[in-house]
Amino acid sequence: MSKEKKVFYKDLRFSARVVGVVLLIVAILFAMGDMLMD
Amino acid sequence: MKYNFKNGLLWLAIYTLLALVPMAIALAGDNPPHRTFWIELGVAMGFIGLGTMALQMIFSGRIASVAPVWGMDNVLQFHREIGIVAFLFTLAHPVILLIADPEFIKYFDPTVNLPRAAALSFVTVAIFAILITSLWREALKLNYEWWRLIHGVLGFGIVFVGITHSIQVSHYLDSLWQKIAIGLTMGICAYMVIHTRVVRPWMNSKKLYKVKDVTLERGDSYTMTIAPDGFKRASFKAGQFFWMSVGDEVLKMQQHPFSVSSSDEDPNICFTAKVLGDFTATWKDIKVGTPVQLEGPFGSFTLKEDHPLFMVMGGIGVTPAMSIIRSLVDKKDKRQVILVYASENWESITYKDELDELDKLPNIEVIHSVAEPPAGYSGESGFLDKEFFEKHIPSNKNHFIYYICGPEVVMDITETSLRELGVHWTHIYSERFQIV
Repeated sequence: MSKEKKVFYKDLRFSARVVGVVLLIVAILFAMGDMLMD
Repeated sequence: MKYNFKNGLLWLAIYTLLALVPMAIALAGDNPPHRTFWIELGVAMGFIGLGTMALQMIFSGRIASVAPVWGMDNVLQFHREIGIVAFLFTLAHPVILLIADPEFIKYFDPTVNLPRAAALSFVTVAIFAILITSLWREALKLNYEWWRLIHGVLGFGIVFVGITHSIQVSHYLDSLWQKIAIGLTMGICAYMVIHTRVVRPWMNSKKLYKVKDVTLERGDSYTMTIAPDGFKRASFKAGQFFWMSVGDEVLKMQQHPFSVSSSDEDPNICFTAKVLGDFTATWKDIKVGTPVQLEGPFGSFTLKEDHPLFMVMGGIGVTPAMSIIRSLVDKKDKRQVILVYASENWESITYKDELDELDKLPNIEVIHSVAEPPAGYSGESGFLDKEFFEKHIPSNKNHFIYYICGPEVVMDITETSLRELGVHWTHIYSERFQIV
């Protein structure tokens, strides 16, 4: 992938990473489980 | 449909929620006692890994109702990028669990449970294999057809084992309804692989087109004209593409995407291809009457509302532009069209005679840019760059819709130049076929 394309709006890598981070936060919340309730 | 942030966020939100379906099913039952943070995190990674891997089947499923919204190339690009995320979550599942409690190694121990150990070992190897073969297919010299077959088999295997594993472990999926729910939701996704690669090709093989004509064009290109054999031609919009295979064999591995070059008013369908690979090299020998199978149409490279058009096409990438312009002429649509056609040299300009005629129409302007101009040539020459676009884009630039298709380098330079010159991103449409 060219340097230009990396910075271009339609590079969907950023969107995928945002989704990945959101999913990771959900996973951490899932793992905290009871700790969140206390 | 036009690109905008709102639609983008909506689709990402839908995707995220769907990826969390396995976890939601797990949490909907009677929750077992909480173990350590790291064990539960490892489990969460597994549920998300399964959800994201299963959704990959939907993306690669060539779903006609999703692809036109964002363009098949963008959908596949997202499939590729989110695939890396899916890989990381799936890999994190055993890694975190083994670090949290080495006792989990028993899941890989063939003396404890041979089928389970074999299945989980397969998935561990398969997620690496699917990632490596996709990111470095060309470097590995793996041809597209074999890659696609391997990709489908491994993807299906990973999701199938993932479903079975989550049901078999049963820690969070204790109730029967949970087992059925996870099996059904993830199973539907896994079925998409079979549907796309077996069921749909089989259905397409029942609707065979016949070759009417194969003609030589300028620039070492051929135009193949096909017609439906006893049924109504597939409806498409000018600028869209089909996956095409020649012959009447069911489950033919060799299938290639080609943009339609004819008008959407034409009862036949024409494809024009430059002789670049093994498949296009055979076009000149294809006989009249040869059966052709089509899958599609796909693509969002189509007319948007009634804006004037600024099209930048490189080489044989001009075919969707020809389809759009021919359709506009057939429909007597008088909107302004500026076509920039970048070619390697004067002899390689496909459709040159027809473009000369179109250029005479009051609403159509064709600007050739030739990389290696012949002696005495006075038109635009060299490679496209920002100065070229500064000179040629209209002053009311954001009233136009921009379409870009051609070699990667032409598309990169054009997209970047247009953005730098103030063209809003929602006005730019491009189609890239080189995904893997």
